[in-house]
Amino acid sequence: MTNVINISSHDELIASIPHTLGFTPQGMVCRAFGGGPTARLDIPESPAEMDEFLRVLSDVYLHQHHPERVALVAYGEDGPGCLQALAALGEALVRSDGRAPEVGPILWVNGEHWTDVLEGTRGTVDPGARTRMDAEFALLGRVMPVDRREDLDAAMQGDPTAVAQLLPAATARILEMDAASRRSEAEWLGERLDQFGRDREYLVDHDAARVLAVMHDTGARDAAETRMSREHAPILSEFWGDTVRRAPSEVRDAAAAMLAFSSYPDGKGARAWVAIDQLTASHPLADLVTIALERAIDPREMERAIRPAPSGALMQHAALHDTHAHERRPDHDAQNSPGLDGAGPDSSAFGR
Amino acid sequence: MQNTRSGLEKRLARRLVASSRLARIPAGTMRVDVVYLDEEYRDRLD
Repeated sequence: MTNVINISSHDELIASIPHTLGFTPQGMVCRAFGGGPTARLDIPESPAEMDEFLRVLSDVYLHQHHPERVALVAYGEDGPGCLQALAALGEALVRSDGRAPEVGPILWVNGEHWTDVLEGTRGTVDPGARTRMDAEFALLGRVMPVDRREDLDAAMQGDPTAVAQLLPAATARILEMDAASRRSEAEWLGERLDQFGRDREYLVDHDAARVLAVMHDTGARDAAETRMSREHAPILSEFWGDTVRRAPSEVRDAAAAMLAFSSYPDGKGARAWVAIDQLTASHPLADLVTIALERAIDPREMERAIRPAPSGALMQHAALHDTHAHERRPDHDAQNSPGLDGAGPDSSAFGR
Repeated sequence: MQNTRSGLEKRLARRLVASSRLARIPAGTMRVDVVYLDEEYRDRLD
């Protein structure tokens, strides 16, 4: 079922934006309607930054994505800076020769006060509009946004002491493993993630050390990464967010990369950036998430990499297999039969 | 070992290369916080 939230005033538009982003923003917010991503950038402070600002957002909304409408909302105390950025961006989008979205409203927001740049009207955000948007998003199961983007970083900090005490033994255990034992360990990690999907019980310290000790292994990462999907990303973000908070510094990068990886398909671009900022060195998965963020690539592309669509030949084979199976077992109770991949009612929480 | 790509990371890299052909901006430019809405959620500006 698709839930529709109607936004019928500037107050409701402004009140909805923190819920969309996950935090109360500063800078330029391009709120997309009818397809495409919503984007937030800092207000440019120099002509060179302005050029890049316009180039990036033109690329997102004129070339890569084609929303029906984009509302431009600049947040900040610097009125002239906000108004200049709004005017330049509005003009860049409207005067495009290509397939451009409708642009508007165009608002400057300073605290609770807004100015409609096109209409010349002003107002103060109605607390009732905020209450309504809070309720609408709560009904969708969304957590309340944090006050500032910086709070996303604070939420990733925790106490690593307990796990740090167990990590040397966990690391030594992994180092002593042969290839078969490592494969078993990777399977355990996948099963542990599936269990979290079912019971939402965070790792005990011993298991947290065990997870962190094996995450340098490509097979273990594969087991964790292939469980990702847009549907399960919020749950996996919970798991990796908790693990990041408790991870000692020497093994924290892998957990932070996984948090970035789960944040992106979850639609949380800012949290993905903040997770990447936690890394102390280059990480193959984090590098890929960075590319996706910089190019504003649709998270569905990630999902296609995780679960490639079956080829035509495979689909035909599956259909034939299905037909023959029914011919052989006419009385078989379909509800109790495992799927083609063996996934029945007892399959993993993440549907692999 | 950490810098070796897993199987999924190799597939993802190929997918991103293909998807990036639409993008005209070079990597390493301004940071954009991009947010994609849930499949189950749509909003409408009246």
